[in-house]
Order: sequence, then C-alpha cells, then structure tokens
Amino acid sequence: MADFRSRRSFGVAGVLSEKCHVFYHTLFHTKQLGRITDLLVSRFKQARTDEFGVRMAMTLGCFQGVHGDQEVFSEPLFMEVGIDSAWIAVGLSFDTQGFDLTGIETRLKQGAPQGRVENILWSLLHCSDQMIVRYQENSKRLEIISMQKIGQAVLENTFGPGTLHVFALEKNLEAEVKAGAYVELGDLDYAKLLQDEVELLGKKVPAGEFLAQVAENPTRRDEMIHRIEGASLATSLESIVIDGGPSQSLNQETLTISATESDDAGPSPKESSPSVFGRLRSIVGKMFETASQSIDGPSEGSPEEKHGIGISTTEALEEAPADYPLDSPSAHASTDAPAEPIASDELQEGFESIEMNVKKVRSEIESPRAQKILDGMMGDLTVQKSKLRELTRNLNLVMSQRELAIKSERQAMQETLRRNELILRQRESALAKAKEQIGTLSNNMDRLKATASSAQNEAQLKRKFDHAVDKAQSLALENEALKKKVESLRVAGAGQKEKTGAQSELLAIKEKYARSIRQVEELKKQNANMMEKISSDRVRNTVTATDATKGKMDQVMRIANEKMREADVYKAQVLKMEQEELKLKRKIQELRTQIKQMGPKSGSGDPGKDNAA
Amino acid sequence: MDFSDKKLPREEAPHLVRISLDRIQPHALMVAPAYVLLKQNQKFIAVKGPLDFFLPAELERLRDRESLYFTKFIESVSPIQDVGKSVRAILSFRPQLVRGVEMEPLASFERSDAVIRAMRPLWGHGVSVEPFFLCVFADQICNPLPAAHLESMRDRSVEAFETALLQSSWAVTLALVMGMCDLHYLNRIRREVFEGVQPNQNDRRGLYDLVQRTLPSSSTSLLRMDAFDGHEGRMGEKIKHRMTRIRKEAMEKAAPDHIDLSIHGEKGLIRG
Repeated sequence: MADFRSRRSFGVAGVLSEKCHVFYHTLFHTKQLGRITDLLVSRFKQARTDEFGVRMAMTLGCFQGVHGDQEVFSEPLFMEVGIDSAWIAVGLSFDTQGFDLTGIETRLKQGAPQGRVENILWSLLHCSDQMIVRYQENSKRLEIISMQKIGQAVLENTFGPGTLHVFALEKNLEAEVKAGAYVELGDLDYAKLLQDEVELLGKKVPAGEFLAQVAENPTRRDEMIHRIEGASLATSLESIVIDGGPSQSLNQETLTISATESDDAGPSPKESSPSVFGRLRSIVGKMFETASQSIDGPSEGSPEEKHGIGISTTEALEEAPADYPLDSPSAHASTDAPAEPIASDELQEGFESIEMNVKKVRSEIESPRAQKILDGMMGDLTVQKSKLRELTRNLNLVMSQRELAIKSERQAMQETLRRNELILRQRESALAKAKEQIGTLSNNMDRLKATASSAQNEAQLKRKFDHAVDKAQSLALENEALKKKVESLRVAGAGQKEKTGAQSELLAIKEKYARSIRQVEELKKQNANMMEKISSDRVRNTVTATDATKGKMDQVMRIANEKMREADVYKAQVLKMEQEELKLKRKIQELRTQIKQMGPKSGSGDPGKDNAA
Repeated sequence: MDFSDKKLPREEAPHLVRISLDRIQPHALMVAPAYVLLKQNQKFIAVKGPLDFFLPAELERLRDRESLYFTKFIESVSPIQDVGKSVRAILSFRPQLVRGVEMEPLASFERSDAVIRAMRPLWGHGVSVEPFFLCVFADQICNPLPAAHLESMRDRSVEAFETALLQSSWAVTLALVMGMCDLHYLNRIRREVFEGVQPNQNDRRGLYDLVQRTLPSSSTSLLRMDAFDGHEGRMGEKIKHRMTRIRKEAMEKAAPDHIDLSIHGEKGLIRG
C-alpha cells in the first residue's frame, strides 16, 4: 500500500508531500469547466504533467459529481489539484445520494465494474497511475483522487488500470495534514496563463479586475473613468495595472515542481486613445450596472428592494432640516416638487454616441477576445437599450401618474381642509351658542335657587298672612261684640250721660272704635288685594316672590301688627270701659237703691218713671 | 446591540438624517439607531438599535409619525454597503443572449478573483474588520433572512440573535474568501449559521466550526486575519493563504483604499 501522509481524511494534501501546492476551487456548475482545465494545464505546463490525464480526471470526476443531466450541482463540487515533485493529484469531492463501497475494489481490480459510477471510476482508473476513492458514510461524501506521475504521459505508458486505493472513512476523520501552499484558482494570473487578456491602452486587464472596477460604487465610476482617461500612457500609476498582482507573488514562492508561466506572456503594450478606453469602460460600466439590476428577476429580487432601509440607505437619505419645526410642511417640500420626465431623446443621443465610440474602439482593438467581449457587450447594450427605453417610457408614465395622483391628493387635501375649516366655524358658533345657553341656564339656576328660598318665604308669609287674617277676623268679631256692648251700654247709660263724666269719655272711645273699625275694614281690603295677588302669582306659576312683594308683605305685617297693638289698646280700653260700666252700673244700682230709699221717705216721687228711665 | 445615545436633544436635529417611514421595510436590519421625535419631551428617543428590526405592527403604530431619524452613522456605513452591492452584482452577473446566442459566461475563477478585488476596501489596517460591518456587508449580498426565524431568535435572546447575525455574516464573508461565489449557496450558509443548523456536509460543517471558534459571541470586537494562524485545518490554511494575497495587495497599494470605519469613537455608535 502506498505511503500516504493521511489516508483517512479528505484532501489531496494527504497523498502528496509536505511541500506540495494545492490549487483549489469550488464548482457550482459545469459551465466553463474547459477554461478551468485550461488554466490548470497551463499552470502545470512547465512541470511536464500529462495534460490529457489532467483533463480526463477533471472531466470524469465532474461527470461523477453530476447527478443526472443537470448542469448545476445540487451541492458544490470541491476541486483540489495538488502537485509536488513526483505527483500531480486531481481530487474532486462531492456529496452523493449514497454509495456502496462493498466489493468495489475487487470488482474494479478484476475489471468487472457494475453500474454507472463504477464504470466511470473504471475509466478514470485507466487515466491514473493511482486512484484513491474515499467515502464517508455519515456525510455521504465521496472523494476521488486521480494521481499521475510527473514527467510521464499516460499514453506513453502501457494503457491499463492504475493502482486503486479505497478507504471507508469513519465519522471522526484523521487530522488533516498541511500543504505547502493553498491557492485559489482566482488568485492565479489567469489572464496571462490563458493569454486571453483584454488588451486596452497597452495594458492587459483580467476579467476579475475589470468586473471589480465596474461593479464599484456608481458614484465613483465617473471619477474612475476620468482618472483612467486622464492618465498618461507611459507613466500612469493610477491606471489599472493588472499584470503584476497576486499571481506574481505566488510565482515567487518556492515550488519544487516549478511551473512558471508568465515570462513570455503578453504581447507588447499597444497604445490607443485614452478617451476610447474611458468610453469603453463607461459603456461596460453602464451595461454592468443595468445587467446587475436585472439579473435576479422577481424570484430572488434585489436585497435593496427587500431590505428597505436595512439595505439601501444612500438613496433614501434625506438631511433633516436645520431649522424647526421638523415636521413642518416645508420639511417635506422635496416630495411635492413636480417630477421632470426623463428625456428619452437624451438617452437616444447617448446611445448613438456610445455606438459611434464603440465602432471607433472596435477598429483599434486587435485582441480577438476583446473583440468577442465587445460584440457581446454591444449586443447586450442593444438589449438593455430597448429595455431602458421601455423602462423610461414606463417611468415617465408612472411619474405622470404619480404627479396626477399627487395633484388629486393635494386637491382632496385642500377640499378636506376647507371642509374642516367650515366645520370648525360651525363648531365655533355652536360653542358660542352653547356658552350663551349655559349663561342662561346659570341665570335660571340662580333664579331657581332664589325661587326655592322665596317659596319658603312665601309659605311663611302666607302663614303670617293667614294668621293676620284670622286675627283681623277675630278682631272684627270682637269689635262687633264690643260694638254691641257699647250700643247696649249707650242705651243703658243714655240716661246717665249728663249725670256722669264717663259718658264723654265713652263718646271719645266710640269715635276711636269707629275709626279702628274703619281701619280694620281697610286692612281687610288690603288683605283681600294681597290674596288676589298671591293667587294670580300661583296661576302664572312664576316663582317670582320679588323683594317688592316681600316688602309689601312686611308692610302688611307691620300694619297688621300695629293694628293688633291698637286692637289690644282698644281691648284694654274696652275692658276699662266695661269696668267703668260695671262701676257705673253699681253706682246706678246704688243710686237706685238710694232713690228707692229716698222715695218712701219723701212720698213725692213716681217710682215707675224712674224705673222706666 | 448596545449604543451610546438612547436619547438625543432636539438641538441635534440638524445632525440627524430623516428617512420616510415608507422606506423602512419590516424585518430589515437597522444599521444605525432609529429615533422618533417626542414633541412633548422635545427629545429624539431611540426606538430601535443597530441590528434590530421593525415588526409590521410596530411600523403601523409609528405610521402617524411619517419619518424616523438616524444619526449620520447611517451614511458612514454606505461604503460598506456599496462593497456588498458590488459583490452581489458580480455574483448575480449572468450572460445575456446576444442575437440569440448566449454570450460566453464568466469563468468561476474570474468571478472569484473579482469578488476578492471588490472586497478589498472591507479590510482595515492589518487585514481586520469589525463584525458589525460584516453584517452590513452580508446583508447587502444575501437575501433577507426569514422573518419568522428573525422574530423567534430575537424573542428567545437578543444576545443569541445578535451573535447569530454576526456569525452568519462572518460565515458568508469567509465563504467568499474561500471562493464560494454562488449566491444561492451563500444564502444557504447564512441561513444555516443563523439558525444554528449543523450540516452533515464536511466543508460547511468545517466552515461553521471555524466561524464559532473565531467569533464566539457578539462581544467580539475585531476579527483579525491572523486569527487563522492557529487553525491547523485545511479550511483555515486556505483562508490564511487567501488573506496573504489580500494583505499583500493592501500593502502594495500606493493609497490604501480600505474604509476607515469603526463603531467605536465619536463618529461611531459607542462613545467613550
């Protein structure tokens, strides 16, 4: 068994020496597989490797990695091509749907492969001095390494199967061994190795640098073009120099199997107009920009569209205004500005100018690859031009629609504003009315409050009034009684008027009594009036017991009280008079008895007349 | 993600960038803190931090505000975004049909070379980069992460969410460095690392292990390329050698073209 550094781990470094260089690449599709193989073969040209063997290994290995007829791998195919002083190893590893290693070694050694995979492996074994097949069951990963001796072509050997080594890898792999260097294929100076650089302005520009430059920030593209255009041909350090770069440095590294490639690479620089170069770059830049925008289509979409602010900021940024208020309409004024339609004439002129320039450039370019690229670009430009026209048309349409929409929105907003103002005015007037009503209501409330208190006063007054009326009536009754008594007394004391001094007093009292009677009558009248007034107030259901009424009532009460006092005085006088009357009666009685006693003594008097008197 | 200015006085308005709310997409990762103006307080209050995202309902709630405000940091990351856009353009480039014939496609090594050249400005002095910017970079290249995964991961742990974001972006960057120039594959790598999937496939598993070792948590402040010196594996060796090219090119450049940017410092997100 061969003495490999590592058997039970993936990678070609394990089957080569420590100083080996490993060139690796990840393949996602089979496109340009030929160019990749070309690059590798070109890289190993000086090492006297078997070109055909490498090509076969690459092709068959990739064929093995492809499941079915698809040209895009479901899982990437990892390619490693290692080289040391004795061997070149082409390794391809990929995921499988499942692979059975049982008996494969025996079958292949016996020349009896079974199935498609084993047949391919059998073919590959014939192109290899040694072939290593490694398979890890848990990851279902298969690695096929085709090893060829350096300096010995396959066709020079007796064509037959090489040595086969089959390893079933455990879940836990051996520690991976180091290589002297790992080189990604993109780090190779492929432009020189493949001799297909685009020669412009006397410089050879690899596609990578070309793409990287035009894919840069569009805002810097014009500056870059200007810089390139303005550069001196002979001394420009700023122009894009590609002929050195990473591959040079890699070539300088010690390689036991020296595979140099670029000493004689590239024709002598050819001068051409810098402006032509700039214009071409400008064309391609625009194309690239357009292409990159239209690549993914609706399925994947640009992250710019999907991410919103998380992705695209520069276009979305707006400076916040320094002056306040921030949310004032002026802050959004930029959005209200009418959009100017994109002038398709200018675009047309631009395209025509580009086409003219490209024609000039075409005449100055000699490299067939550059011509080919230019053809492709021009075709692409035509497609993009029509797309751009369509887009311009659509954009203008959208802009006009948008403008129309903005106008209608503005009108609607103005209308809404007017309506709002009207509503505001109506509300203001309603508010004023409401305020007025509130004032009225508050007045009414005050009145009601006052009314509530006056109602109580009224009840009191009424009670007082009733009381006064009762008193007045009782007084009237008493006066009637007194009148009767006075009349009876007058009748009784008529004969005694001249005789007693109390009779004159009685007359005065009578006059006073008559006067009081009149006053009582007047009071009665006043009370009647008041009753009428109160009843009329009740009928109107107004609760306006005004101060005047209150005053009147007070006055009435005052008068009533005075009259009561007067009545009391009169009562007292009446009592006094009654007492005097009683005294007088008694005196009369005494006088009568004296007269009677005097009658029989004198015998000259008529007792009947005296009694009648 | 931690950042210094949770609140800003209204006087800072001239130094802020206003972005219409219509332009903010749900689940889009923020590259700078998002502020709203509270008129009552007269202050800008941060509603989202960097690497966070808005939910549709949150955007709906903010709808009456019309705009969000960002610090100028959002503008300073645009060169990183441009690098991402360039890389995506290179990866997305497909040949067009010219007069019915398909134009000669790019070879994958040309694409790989172009990507490494386009990524040149990403690497700072000493070929190093802050993980945050890788997130901005990868976000430009890849399709958005699934909204449900973003939400569930953030709800589980913000720390784990940010770590997953940074690790997935780092994985995408390393895959590109290793020449895996396929947009579909990169999207898959980003999603798998973000979701913490452990693939059977050796190379991807190796890559994810490498990512875990070199960027164990969101607190990792700087990713240096010499971090791969200690890794014995084949993958580490490949990356190390590819970085040698980047370093050499950076040194050979008369004028450094890297983007001098940091989340720390006066112009960054974290001050002091």
